[in-house]
Amino acid sequence: MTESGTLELRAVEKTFAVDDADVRALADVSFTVRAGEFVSIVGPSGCGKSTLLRLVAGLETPDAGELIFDGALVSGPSLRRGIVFQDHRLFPWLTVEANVALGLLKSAESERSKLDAARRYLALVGLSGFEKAYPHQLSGGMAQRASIARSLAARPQILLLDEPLGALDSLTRGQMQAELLRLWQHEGVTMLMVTHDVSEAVYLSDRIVVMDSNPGRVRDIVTVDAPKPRARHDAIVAALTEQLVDRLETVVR
Amino acid sequence: MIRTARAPRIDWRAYVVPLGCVLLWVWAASTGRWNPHLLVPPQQLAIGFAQSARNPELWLALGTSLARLAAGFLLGSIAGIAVGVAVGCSRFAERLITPSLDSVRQVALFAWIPLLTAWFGDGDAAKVILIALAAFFPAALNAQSGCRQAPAALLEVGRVLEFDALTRLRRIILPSARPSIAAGLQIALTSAWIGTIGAEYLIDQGAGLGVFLASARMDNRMDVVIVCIVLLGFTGCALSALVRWVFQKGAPVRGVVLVDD
Amino acid sequence: MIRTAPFATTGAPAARRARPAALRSTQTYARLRAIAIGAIVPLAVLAVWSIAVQLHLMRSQILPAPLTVWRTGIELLTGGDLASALAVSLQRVVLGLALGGGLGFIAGTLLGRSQTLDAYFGPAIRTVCQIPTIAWLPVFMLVFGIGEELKLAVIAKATFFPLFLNSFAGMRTAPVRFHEVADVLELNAWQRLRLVTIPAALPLVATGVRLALSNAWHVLIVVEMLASAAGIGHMMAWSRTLFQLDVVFVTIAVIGATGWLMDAGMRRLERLAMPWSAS
Repeated sequence: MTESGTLELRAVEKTFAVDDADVRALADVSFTVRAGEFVSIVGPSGCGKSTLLRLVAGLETPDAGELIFDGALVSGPSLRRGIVFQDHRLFPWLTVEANVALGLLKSAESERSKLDAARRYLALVGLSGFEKAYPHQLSGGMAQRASIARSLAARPQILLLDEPLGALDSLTRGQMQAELLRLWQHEGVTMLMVTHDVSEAVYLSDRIVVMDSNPGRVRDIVTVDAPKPRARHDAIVAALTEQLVDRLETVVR
Repeated sequence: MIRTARAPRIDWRAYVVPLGCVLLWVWAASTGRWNPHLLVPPQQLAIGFAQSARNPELWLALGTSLARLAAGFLLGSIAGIAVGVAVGCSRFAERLITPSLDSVRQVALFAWIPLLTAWFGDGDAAKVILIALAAFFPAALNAQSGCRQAPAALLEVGRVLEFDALTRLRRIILPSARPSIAAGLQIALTSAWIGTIGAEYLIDQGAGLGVFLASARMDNRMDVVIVCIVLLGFTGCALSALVRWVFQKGAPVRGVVLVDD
Repeated sequence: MIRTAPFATTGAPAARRARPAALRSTQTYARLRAIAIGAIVPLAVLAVWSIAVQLHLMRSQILPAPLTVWRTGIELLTGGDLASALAVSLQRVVLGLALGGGLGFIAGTLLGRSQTLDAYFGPAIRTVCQIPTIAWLPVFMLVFGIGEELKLAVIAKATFFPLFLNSFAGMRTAPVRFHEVADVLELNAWQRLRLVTIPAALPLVATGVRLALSNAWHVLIVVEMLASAAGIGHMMAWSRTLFQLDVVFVTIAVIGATGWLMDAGMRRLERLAMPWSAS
């Protein structure tokens, strides 16, 4: 297992200009993600969850506060902080394996070994046999898996997931959640996931960051005290899910 | 939520290049190195504008063109909408008519002129038919797609309420198709206007702005040519705005908010 | 408990399943039926036309018999007149497209990538291009005369805008989402150009070329009718002057067919080269 870093957010603020007015997406957000953890961020829409993730990815810069990863200030996107988007964003003009190999573009390996690595990661996510396919030939779930493979191929220290299963139907989503858990356990990568699905968060995470909206701030950080893998109908899991849903519902006035 | 309002900014950068071109034009014309007939000096152009404004022939020509436009546009757009609705509502009509219509559409509009003048002479008939042709296709195509896209959900309601075909047309299909038809008419009017000027320019007989333009060119009067072009441009814009206004008056206000998470 | 087996896959990607024989023949039948219905109107027109000729409803000078038109068509095709006229016209289109389309592509690409350039030049270019090419004709005729430069200038103008607009959109619509992936993957500028910008822009540019071709073809015909001694537009105008209406009919058909072929050809090319673009 490679050495993973700790992610620390300190009093992060972010404001956007929308239609000639200023909207405060995030206000005074602070929390820490320890190496190897699986942390989810849940909250109502508009609470800035995605913005938060994009800040960690380095795709946006905070207006105030700091994001510190592995001891250094976050200042721009990096392969060490991989991100999986809700829309898979596979390049439509490349085959699946070429897409996954993109994660290895920066490495000094030979083309041969890069392709081999790409195929290994595709096998890891269960897409063996689809290497030469084009993204438009894949289903939503498969494309998302390929996208995850691409991010993992770059061997990131932390994997950010922005509502990765949001575009999938509930059957596929259930399967993919189990997949994600397996990948997390297999690769040992820190994972920070944004989701609107509370039960998904409870199923997968070690800790859950609950956020408010208007402006987005951290309401609560909940530790999930059940061993993994968890059964969805487990008493603790169900109780916690209900609790969180209740809490979120009171937030939405 | 904290909101601070900001005044909308006017982008002055858009005016730099046009202004620069105007200045360039003024300077170039003043050096007298270029043919003053081609590179008309601004004063000359201004005089040309004033002269033309006072020239009754120009306004008569414009009026004639507009009259032809009205005739051709009405003819073409009504036929177009009728055909478009028929083809949009009935698969059979679509299979019957679309191949032939598509073939005719492949031929450039003005390529019909030689044939039309051979059949109908150089008078108004050929021009009006050409204008109608120009208006026909946009109107038909948009009417067709508008009717085709009538929401299946509403049509089902119609079936449940046992609407007959005519009622279905009146109550569901046509209202749903209204925005498309409006858009089609706008495009049809623009095409028809271009068709009017083009037909007059090419046939070069009988009064009209296009004919006026043609003779100005033959007299080598660049200033008059420019005046004509500006006039036809303005008229085109005005006509577009007219159609938009007509359709906005009747339509209920519909606002669509796109939410991006 | 770590699961290592992949999930059941849905089978090889996009394999066309063989249709059962019965279904296949129904499909062919349906297609034939559609073709038959589509042929009704043309056949009816042909019938009316023949009857009109027989009954001398119009002077035979201006309404030649269908058979005459057909024979003239074959004559012109095999004789080479048609081919040479078409060649002249197509050559003009290609040259004009290279010039105007090329400029449009460069301008669109530059302005698409640079907000600053777009702020300065964008509005001016768009306003000027709004003016229909036909309106430019008198001005061009005064400036360029009636030689080859005129045709080149007119076609260049007609091809500039579609390519400008579409290249511009191609640069912009090369979605931000892909560029963000490129950011995270730490691609350098050259890799980004090669792997994201250009492939993403390709479908739109191809559409631009297709539209430009269509514009160019329509505009060229007009110019050739007005001010040319060669080319298919001239052939049509000239035969009209000579009241050879059969030739006029043939040229109309050829103009339409060529336009359609260019468009269909481009679409085919697009589908072959870029199977992923759902156009």
